[in-house]
Amino acid sequence: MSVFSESIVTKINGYLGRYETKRSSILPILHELQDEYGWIKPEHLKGLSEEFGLPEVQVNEVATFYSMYRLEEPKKYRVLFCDNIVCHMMGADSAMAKIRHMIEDFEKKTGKPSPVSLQGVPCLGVCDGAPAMLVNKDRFLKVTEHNVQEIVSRYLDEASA
Amino acid sequence: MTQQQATETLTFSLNNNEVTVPKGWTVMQAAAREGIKIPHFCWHPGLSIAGVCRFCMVKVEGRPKLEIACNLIATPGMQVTTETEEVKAAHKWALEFHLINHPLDCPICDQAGECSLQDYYMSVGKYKSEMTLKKVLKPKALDVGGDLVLDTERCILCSRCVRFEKEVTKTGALGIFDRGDRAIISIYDDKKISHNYTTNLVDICPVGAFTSKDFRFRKRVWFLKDIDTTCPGCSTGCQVKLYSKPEERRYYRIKPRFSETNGHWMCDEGRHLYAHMNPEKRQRTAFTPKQDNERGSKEQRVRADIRDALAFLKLKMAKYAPSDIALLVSSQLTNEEYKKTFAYFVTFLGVKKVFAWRDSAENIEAFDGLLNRGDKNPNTKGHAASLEAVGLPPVVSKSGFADAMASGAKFFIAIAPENTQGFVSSFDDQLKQLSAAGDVALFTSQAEHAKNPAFDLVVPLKCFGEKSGTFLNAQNMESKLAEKPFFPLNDQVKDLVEITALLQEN
Repeated sequence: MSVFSESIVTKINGYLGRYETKRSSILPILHELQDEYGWIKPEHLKGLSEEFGLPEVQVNEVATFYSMYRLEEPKKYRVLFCDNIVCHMMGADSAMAKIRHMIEDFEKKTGKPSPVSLQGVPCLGVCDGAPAMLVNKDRFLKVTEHNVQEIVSRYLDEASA
Repeated sequence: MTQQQATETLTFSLNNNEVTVPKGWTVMQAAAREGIKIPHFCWHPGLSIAGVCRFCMVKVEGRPKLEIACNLIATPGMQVTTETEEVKAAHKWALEFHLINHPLDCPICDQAGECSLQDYYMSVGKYKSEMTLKKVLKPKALDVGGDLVLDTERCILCSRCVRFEKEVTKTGALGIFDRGDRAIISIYDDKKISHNYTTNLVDICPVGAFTSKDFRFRKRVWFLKDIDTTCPGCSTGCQVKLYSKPEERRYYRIKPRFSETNGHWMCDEGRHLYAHMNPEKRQRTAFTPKQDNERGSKEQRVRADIRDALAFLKLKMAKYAPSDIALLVSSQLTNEEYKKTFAYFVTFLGVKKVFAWRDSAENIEAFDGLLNRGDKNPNTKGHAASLEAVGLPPVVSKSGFADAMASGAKFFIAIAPENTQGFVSSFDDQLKQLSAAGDVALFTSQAEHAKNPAFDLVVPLKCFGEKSGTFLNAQNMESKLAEKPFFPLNDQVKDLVEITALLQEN
């Protein structure tokens, strides 16, 4: 039994034939897996070598090199907070500290793992709206320690409800 | 240096000297040939070019930046300088970057004394570190299979090992995982390296990241002396360096040296062929049968001086007709030894029953495609040629031992092989049969062979580290043992050139 769905297998085979070397196809294949499943599971990495003959060492080299490949299961809401210079100047630091604090609080109070994760990322390209933040694919501008509570608690509350 | 056959050449200037090299050569190759030392970590003449260590910087006239010599193809008229202030500064900075997360545990590192980082620090470094950040900690003392222990903190990520795995053994077991200062060289999961060439990774590792289980913590390298010799492990005859601490009469390791025969590499099997030469394994003295008037142990044999043992051998041979004597010789002697041995026993004494002491189960034709051959005797061809020279059929037969037993001889002069790795299946059996076969004179370097008290006439032999001479390998190429070998274990062990001289003396 394949660990991949049929549509993914077709796509993988497409990538494998597209480039001069098989190795070159690892990058787009991993993207495909991440888009499909949300993250890259260990059994996917294994499956790529067992079912498609890509060397495990090479697949893992690529997967661990790029930090945009998620090798751990993501939370339901991924907060990507810009931590570059402009956002930093406009108070990204304290806003991020606030979110971190909220997540800790939530876990302490409910005893459940938080549905929200926080990650600092480089420039989101909206310096005019700094500090900027993405929650999954929703964009928030001018997020400061004063209004961040309102935004993030929406996602946290939804989970505890 | 695969481009060596290229006929076209070009001339460029290296440190103000005109050098002519084949087209396609890199500046690094040219410098290596000219004996100009350009500091480098990732470049290795037996591997592809990676250009990752950024250490082999040279100045090229007319180019704004320094270039890496390993990946700089020489062009006609190019003017290259390897020692300018700019280059020196580049080396110093590059070295400081390499050492940022290096643990500096030289006092407990086996590579100390032959480590590129140490050498280059002394030749191009000598700076005061300006790093105030804590070093990144990484996994240490990992067993990655074969003969290897991996310390990822000492690693400078030159990727030589990764390329060796990819290009030479084609196993691809190693990779670089993660990124930046967290990057580590490792195997994937628990898929350990398992081939016969693992210790080459220890050799090519410029730092102490890979160390050998066999050599780890056994001896500081500056106590070791080395000789250039030939590996006696199989009929390939790799050119090697043998390391010993002569004062201890103890051997520690074998490493390959570059030659046409073996390139830069050798197999793990050959690496272990020093242990049998150490004192505890050796037959140190001769044995002769106990005479009636002698006291001593209950055994039927006593320790004796080698000269007495040889005199006894001569007396014994005189009791038999030459046709009753069989000579059983291994294929592990040198050409010189064969010549003298056959000259004495065959030509002078008239012994015509000469047999090869071989393993009947060996697969002579086997070859692993790189270096290791199934014929575990280094001088099968020389053995055959020497037989022919004295008018005997030049056939080194696998069934030589069985033939000797069936030949009807009453006295066996048996010269045992020093390396019995290729005899695993039958060597003990053969020794047992031999001890029951009748009168035997056993020549051996190994105490193990002579431990059966039934062998009451034993002559101790030298091992390959103590001998000079030549082998003829499977490709009919002559390879030399050391011209100045190590001092022998004691004055009792002899090679067959010396033994036949003693036999002829009186």
